[in-house]
Amino acid sequence: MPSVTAPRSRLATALVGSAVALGVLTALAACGSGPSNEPSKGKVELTMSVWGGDVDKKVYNQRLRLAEKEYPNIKVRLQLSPGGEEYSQKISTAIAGGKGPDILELAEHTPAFASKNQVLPLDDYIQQSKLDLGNMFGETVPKIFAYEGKQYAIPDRSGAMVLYYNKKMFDDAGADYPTAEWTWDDLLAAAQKLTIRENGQVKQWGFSTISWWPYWMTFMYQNGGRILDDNNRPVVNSPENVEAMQWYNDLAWKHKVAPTPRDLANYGQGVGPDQLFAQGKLAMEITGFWNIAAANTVKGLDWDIAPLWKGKQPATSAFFNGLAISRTSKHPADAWKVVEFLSSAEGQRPIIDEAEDAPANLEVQRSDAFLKPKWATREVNMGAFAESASFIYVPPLTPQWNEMIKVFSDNIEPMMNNKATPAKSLETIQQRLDQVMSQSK
Amino acid sequence: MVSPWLVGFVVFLAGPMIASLYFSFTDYALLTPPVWTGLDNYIRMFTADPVFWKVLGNTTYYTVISVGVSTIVSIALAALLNKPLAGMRIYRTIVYLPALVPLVASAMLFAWVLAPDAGLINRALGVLGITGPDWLREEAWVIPALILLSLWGVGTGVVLLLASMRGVPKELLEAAVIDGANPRQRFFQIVLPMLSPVILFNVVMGLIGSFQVFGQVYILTGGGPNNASQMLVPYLFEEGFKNYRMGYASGLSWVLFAVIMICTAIAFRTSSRWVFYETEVR
Repeated sequence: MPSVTAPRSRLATALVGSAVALGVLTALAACGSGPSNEPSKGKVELTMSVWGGDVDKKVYNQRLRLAEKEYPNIKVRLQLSPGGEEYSQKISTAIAGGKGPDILELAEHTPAFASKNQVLPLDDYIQQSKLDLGNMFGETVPKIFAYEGKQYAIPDRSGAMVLYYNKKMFDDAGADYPTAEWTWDDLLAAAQKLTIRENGQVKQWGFSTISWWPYWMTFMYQNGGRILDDNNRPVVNSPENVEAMQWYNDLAWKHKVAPTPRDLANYGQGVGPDQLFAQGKLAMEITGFWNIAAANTVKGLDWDIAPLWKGKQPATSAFFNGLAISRTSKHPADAWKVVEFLSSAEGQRPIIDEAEDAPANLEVQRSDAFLKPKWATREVNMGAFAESASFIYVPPLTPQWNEMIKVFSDNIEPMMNNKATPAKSLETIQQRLDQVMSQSK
Repeated sequence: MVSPWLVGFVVFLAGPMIASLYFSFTDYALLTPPVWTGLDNYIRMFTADPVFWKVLGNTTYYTVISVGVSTIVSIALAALLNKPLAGMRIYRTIVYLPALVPLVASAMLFAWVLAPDAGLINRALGVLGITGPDWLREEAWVIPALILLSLWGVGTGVVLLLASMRGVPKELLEAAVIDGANPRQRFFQIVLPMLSPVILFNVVMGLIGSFQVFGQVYILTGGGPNNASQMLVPYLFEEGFKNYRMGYASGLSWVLFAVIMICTAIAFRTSSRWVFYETEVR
């Protein structure tokens, strides 16, 4: 008899229990008093929900204390949750129950929250405050937080995915360091030089491909492809995309310069490019700012970063979080003042000092404090983040994002296991996405 | 006296159950109020959702094999552990121990055990000259891998069987010896019928538990590759909380409820043919 099974009653009860609670609370919420659009004169207490760990908590608190100094009548209480789905569930239940936070952190779920009318459009506030988002964050990043032409969140932390490379391995192989001028051919040539086999066993990989969307989708965009057209219709099985995926998959299966999923699994559960890079088993990887702290602490690791190479055109994905104001906030105008402050150079500064993340504000990304950070134990080409900002692509974010991600992974994984051809996988994704997108109203 | 229990029952069980039955007939996006759509969710489930049939098939396959194999293995283990050998208490502890390891820990452990080339199982197979599959990343092997993990926890069933085995009256076995029954006959004709009520209990609990398998799938495979290991509970969790389709998820949970009811009913109905209750004879 298997004893390892679902906590049956607990899950079922949580599921339906929260469902009932939701229904009741939604009804109650309707009776609340209307929010005020004017900033308060007296004391106001706001709550702000974010996810993350200890560093995030510390940095957000530092930034909020700065905001409170700027606006002495406002107090902001921070609510920190674990990340991922748990956060999204917790916040959506709270908002549906009328007990949502005033300010909340959002990422890929912005369209889902916006389409269900859970967060306020910020366009009027942006106009009143005369903010030029394109100037502050670059043209692309604000679009990640827009839905149907309206802005629902202000970018808070964001940075391009860049190329991390092991300088010593490049020197040993006699290869030139990567630049933004590299083409796919240059990438392959370098990866071939950097892959080292001993007695049939790979000792060092040149590059690593994984089934996570910021990896493979970047190659599609670099090849002139995309996922959805301007009318949100899937265009996944285009010749550009098929060609890109064939090239991507060949890295592991034809040229053998990147580990197959099977090779990767042999390193252990949860081991990916970041870990291999830190262990000195991988020469190049695509990753985000978060990996800096890890790479910085590995003794003897001689590394640097560079913007990604280009295909037919340069393209890179970005990681991003923005700040939004919930529909249930009683003091949206005050919440806006806090959000506006947090997006300013002053409000973003603690993000750099604690090496938490890349700040979204480009002025801060270009400041000396970011380019020559005081925590760095070595010289790092931090300019790569601002340099990449101009070619970040907006991923096909829609309210159905989670479902789309599932369709992708269902079909990209068999492709990467060499069980399905890229053409076949993309054909299936196209069909499934057609269904997913047509189900939306 | 009964009222605290009654309150608990209404608030935590009956209320939510009725609510979920209602939601299963609505389009309910969790963040917006539910909209009545009649049988739409069920129609979509049975006619338009290709994943549903795959998930139902996977769950049934997993349940039937895992409960079947677990039953046989646990009876065999109980019989072995019933032998009068020195140090038997240690063996018994060893068999029961895995059942005490938290699910998440054993699932993480199995990710290692099942690793394609570095894993214990495939290394053992390699010694025999067999190239083992990439258990968790091949569609054909991912459910067998989950079944292997389920066998890891047979200890609880073994303990119950062992207790009942030791309760088999000595005089019955002695009488059988006098009648000339060999050990095999004694086991199949006497011990096994005496164990049958416990076996029924194990099978029914196993069915209920296996149909609701969640943690292993969630941790080890996420339902992949290509939904080959997706099961009903992780699927309804995903639909409800990730895809904002609480109405559809509620419908799925009622179908799961119906499936479990039917299987349990079958187990009980057929039990009159194979379960022997001593008290009914006396």
